[in-house]
Amino acid sequence: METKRLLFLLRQPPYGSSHALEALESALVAGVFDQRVSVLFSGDGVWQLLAGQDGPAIQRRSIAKIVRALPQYDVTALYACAEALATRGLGAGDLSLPVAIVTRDEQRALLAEQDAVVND
Amino acid sequence: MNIAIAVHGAPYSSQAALSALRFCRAAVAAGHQVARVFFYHDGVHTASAISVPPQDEPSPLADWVELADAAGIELAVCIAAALKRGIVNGDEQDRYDLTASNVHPAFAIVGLGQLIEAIGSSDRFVTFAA
Repeated sequence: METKRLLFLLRQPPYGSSHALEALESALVAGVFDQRVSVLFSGDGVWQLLAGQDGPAIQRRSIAKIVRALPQYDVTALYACAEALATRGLGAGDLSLPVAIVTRDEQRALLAEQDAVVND
Repeated sequence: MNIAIAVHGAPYSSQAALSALRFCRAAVAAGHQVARVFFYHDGVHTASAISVPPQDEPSPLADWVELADAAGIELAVCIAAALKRGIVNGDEQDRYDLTASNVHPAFAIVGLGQLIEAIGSSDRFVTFAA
């Protein structure tokens, strides 16, 4: 299989639906398949990065644990939308792992260099 | 052009599967190839052979099966997403000792890797989200 640049665009909150979990699982598999994977957390998707999550308290897997597993699957290009974080009162110190915080212009450039964008 | 498709929305409660169907028809009519449609998230419900649409509405299942047959499109259902939602074929029924199966034979139950493979081997990838 050809190696491609794939960006997973995650815009859904971590809980309330299965969207975040299943989208993250597809990003992990892309890492296993040796694709050049980036993940951009945008909109309510930035909540997936929040530290101190307790999924088991609501009978769900902890999304933060899966997010933190991404680098183990060679998915190390992690980005968060600066505007989405700011409008939700979140900063780098609130997140469970280090990510690159990017402006709208930087996101445009990031999207432009991908072969495909995978939505959640 | 080779186009890979993902469908994430449920067949009745979301427009995703119907929009994807129309997109696939248009792409094929315009001379493009659609090698695989990958059903993921609630999109896996599309593969159920036992849905009964209202009599005055089209049957998305019949439309998918007809298009796939006519255009040589593989209908692929994510196994992890399907099993969790009770979308099961004969093999999985046997494996998990279940009382029934419901996947239409036109749909293949495959791993998530097949999604990545489809994206990797196509020129364009289009997602129909929920």
